[in-house]
Amino acid sequence: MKTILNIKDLYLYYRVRAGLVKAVDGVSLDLYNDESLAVLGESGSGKSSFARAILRLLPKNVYRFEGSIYIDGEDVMKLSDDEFNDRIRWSKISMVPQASMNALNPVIKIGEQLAEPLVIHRNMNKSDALERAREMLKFVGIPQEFVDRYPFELSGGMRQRVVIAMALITQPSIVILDEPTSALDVLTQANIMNLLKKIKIDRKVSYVFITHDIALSSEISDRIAVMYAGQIVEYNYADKFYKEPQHPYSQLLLSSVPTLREDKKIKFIPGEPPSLLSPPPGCRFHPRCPYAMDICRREEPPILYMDGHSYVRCWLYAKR
Amino acid sequence: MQKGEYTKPCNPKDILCIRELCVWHPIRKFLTISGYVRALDDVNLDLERGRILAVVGESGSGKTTLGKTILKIYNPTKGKIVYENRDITFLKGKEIKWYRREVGYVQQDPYGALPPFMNIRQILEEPLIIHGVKKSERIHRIREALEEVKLIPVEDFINKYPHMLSGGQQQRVVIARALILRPKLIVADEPVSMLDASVRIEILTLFRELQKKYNLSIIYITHDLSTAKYFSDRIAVMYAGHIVEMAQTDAMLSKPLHPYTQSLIKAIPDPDPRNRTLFREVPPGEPPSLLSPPPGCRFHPRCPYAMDICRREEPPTIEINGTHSVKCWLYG
Amino acid sequence: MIKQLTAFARELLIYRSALVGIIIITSLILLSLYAVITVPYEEIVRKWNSIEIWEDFPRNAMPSWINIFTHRKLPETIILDSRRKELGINKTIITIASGKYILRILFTFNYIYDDFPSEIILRLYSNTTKQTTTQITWIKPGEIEYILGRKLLRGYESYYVSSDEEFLKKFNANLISKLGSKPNYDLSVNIALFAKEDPSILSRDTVEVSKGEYRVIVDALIGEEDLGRAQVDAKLVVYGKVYGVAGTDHRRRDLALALIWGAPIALAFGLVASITITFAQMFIAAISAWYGKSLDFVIQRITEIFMVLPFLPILLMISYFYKITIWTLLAVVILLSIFGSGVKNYRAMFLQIKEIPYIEAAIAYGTSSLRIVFRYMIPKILPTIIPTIVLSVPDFVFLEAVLALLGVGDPRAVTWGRVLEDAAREAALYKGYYYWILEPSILLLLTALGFALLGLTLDKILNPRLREM
Repeated sequence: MKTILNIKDLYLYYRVRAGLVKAVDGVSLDLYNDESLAVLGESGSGKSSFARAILRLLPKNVYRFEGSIYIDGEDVMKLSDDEFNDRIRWSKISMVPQASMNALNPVIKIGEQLAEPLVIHRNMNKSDALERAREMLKFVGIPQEFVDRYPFELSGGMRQRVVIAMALITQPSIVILDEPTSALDVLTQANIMNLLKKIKIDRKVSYVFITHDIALSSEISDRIAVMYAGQIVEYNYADKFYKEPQHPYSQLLLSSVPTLREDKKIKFIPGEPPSLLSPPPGCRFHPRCPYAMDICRREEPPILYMDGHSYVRCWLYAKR
Repeated sequence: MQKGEYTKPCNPKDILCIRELCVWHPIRKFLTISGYVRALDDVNLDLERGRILAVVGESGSGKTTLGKTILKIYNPTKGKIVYENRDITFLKGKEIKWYRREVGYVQQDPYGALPPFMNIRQILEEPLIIHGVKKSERIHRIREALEEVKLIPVEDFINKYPHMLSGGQQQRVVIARALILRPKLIVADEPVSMLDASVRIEILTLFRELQKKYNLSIIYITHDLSTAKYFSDRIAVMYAGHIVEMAQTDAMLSKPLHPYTQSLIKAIPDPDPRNRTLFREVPPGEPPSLLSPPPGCRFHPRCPYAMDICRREEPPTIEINGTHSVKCWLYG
Repeated sequence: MIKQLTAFARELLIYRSALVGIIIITSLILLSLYAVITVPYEEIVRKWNSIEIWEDFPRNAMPSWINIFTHRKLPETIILDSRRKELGINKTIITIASGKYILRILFTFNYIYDDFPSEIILRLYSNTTKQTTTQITWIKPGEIEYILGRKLLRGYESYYVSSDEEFLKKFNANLISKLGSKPNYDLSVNIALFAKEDPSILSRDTVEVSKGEYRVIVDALIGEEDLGRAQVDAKLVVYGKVYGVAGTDHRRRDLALALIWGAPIALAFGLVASITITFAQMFIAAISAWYGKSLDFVIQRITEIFMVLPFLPILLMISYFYKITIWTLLAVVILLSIFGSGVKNYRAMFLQIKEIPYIEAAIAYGTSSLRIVFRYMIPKILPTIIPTIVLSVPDFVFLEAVLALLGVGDPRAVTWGRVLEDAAREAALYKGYYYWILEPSILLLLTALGFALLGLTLDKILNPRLREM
């Protein structure tokens, strides 16, 4: 068991016409190689920017991008763009982006698209790559004949499997999945999650699973990072988190989601998530927090470790 | 019972009664019709006054078509829609204008549902203008509507344009617009699925309050069974253009009868860390094409309990007790 | 509403291109207003097509500001009219014998230019009962005197001095005796009457103008009975080679008039055509897209037929069979363009707009089809078509000019296209009258530039494609 991913103080700010977006504002976390992580957050929390930042897929007009990202012990932030592209991106860590079933090139056959990462990042020749593509399709549950089909001939669920296959074909250690099932039906979603679980066991990949759906996050994650306004406000183990969330936001989030199997009192969180352009001073959640104290309005709470690996950013826990 | 002989009569106290409703979209090729997409087939539905019925299904199940047909945006091909004991099935144009006052529509995408070039006041004024509400009364109604959906102070919102509001606020405007003519029936098509998780419950709660206050009858269309459980009195499950099961919410979720309903419930996770070690039982395959659906029961290719008769004949709708019905040969 | 417009205007003016465009267009509008206020339309047409008004204007004269750039100063026109009291032309009566008198008109002028006049015409007016004999004497600086000839005058007589062959023969003979040889080129009367009479006159390259005071004497013989009531008048016009801001054309017309008046016509033609056609196409497309089915089918087929029709040949045919004024031309252009390709474009846009959820919502609360089209669909498309309207204005301005050049359209109209047509027919380039072609062309280009700059900037603002993050 080793640490496969270790992020320290990552910052990503970029400029837009209206001002400066602080998408990732001091994020740290670590992950072992037999664990998967869910990054839980609403729209505007910065979770997608965070995922893309790990892969160095940066927006235009970057203002600040610094911190350390250790993948398998190496700080990839120190690498040049070319080195990163050659050795890291799609080799050690790959991504299934949002709405990716629509990101397949409509005029290229499935097999060729699937083989492409091998040809580019592993310098394989085309026929070997196509052979692996066939194997991969079988692995994700698509009949091998589909190698010669075009994307439009496949259903949404099947296309999503192809994209997952594309992310896996170079055998990375980490796969980032950004809302991989948001456009899919419930049954298809369950199928895809089954597939992801199988892959996790067979291939021993670590997932970084980005979603806004709390229930879905519990399907795959061993650790949860709750993101709010560009920061991780709670980083906890799954077993603890869903039973006893620590941060007020996590608590409210869990109680605001209706569950199918248990009856519970539903509470909702008043107000709206803040804009990343001008977050509130002090603790960013304080305008909506039922426990907000004076200090919350003035100072940003620090990262407070609960044990070696899990932490919460909340003044309520500073008294220790 | 044979297909087409759903003999349960309409209850005159019900606000909405739908019998054998079919909506088939013709496919035109150079002025001839080459086939039909059978979006809705033989749908039967009763809605009691003041109740919320959730229509749950995946995309392609026909739930959106059902909603739009009730709203008379689509026209039925066959069947009967009875609203407050008046047969409105084939009424069009001016004949149906009175009905449009009675039904309100809350849509899924708040940003697309509001014309971007009108401000809030104009958006809310449109239905009033169309139904001849006097100018002096209009502004009063608009303020009232905004207060109802808690967009206060009203002055802050009246002159704004949709893009200046957040998603949650936009959806409140959509609800206000649906209510401004004081309808009796609301069709809400995925009203919260495009909103953030923390905002969803807020909006649904607001909706619940308004429903109680005005005794609204609501048809709540969604793919999310969890919110259906929270928000509705009865649930109807749709698959491939049919209603395959309909029951009280608690009964449906504690004892689902139709295999499809059962797999739907099994497939939906609750936040539980044990989920990561279990695999869910999911029927393989995809929903069928509505252009040429499979013979017999449309779910049979994916059903774990499929029998011979399922492949040959379409199952009838079977009443289990007064309030639970299912369209499946297992109970025939 | 006002606040929105000012905010929008401010955003627009950030772009310098839009600023330049607006300046050009505003100048054109001001020019048009000036034209319309000073000379109303019917009058301008009459003026432009008349002959008498331009009598005293030089033919094919260049703009007078040319003289700033040349060191050889070209002559302006000198008009001396004895009927105009304020000029103080000297009129005397001389008794030569009993019962016989001479009415003498004395014209005096200073000629200081470096080049010879283009034409010399002397017009004689009398109200005597009988025919009068007149004699014209020309006196150059240095007291060189010539008798130009005798004319019999009754009522009105015009003497084209420049075409007087008799005089030319005498002059040449005079030169031979004075200087020993003939000039080696065809001397014209204009040169003869103004040149220095030394050996320089013998070659075209060296001939020089004799600068100084010139006198022209018109003597009319009148009898006793006409004394006192006889009125003999004369108008001497020494035509220059430059005139005014824009020069003149082959019919002596001041081009500035046509250039100024071309502006309102160009703007009117362009704007009316552009706005009418774009809006008409938009309405047709909206109806076609909204009502669909057979109506859509019919409208699309009609549109396709119109799109295939050859625009220009049809216009030419119509103009050959019927007399067209510029406004009927405008009507025909509009009618032929209404079912154009814009219908297809806008229909595609409307078909997309039809699917937007708020349209369905409008149906759900009972909006009539007409209201949906006008209140819900068209406003959505307006930001797209406003740049189109602005950008197509120059298309129609050019169309009118091209049609005029081809001979289609109103022969009496006063437009830039007409000016170009005249210039082309008179082989202006071959004859070296570059200003005649350049002036209307530059105005056409400026118009196009102004609208293009404004239109492209509007497009950039109203229809952002790739926004920066």
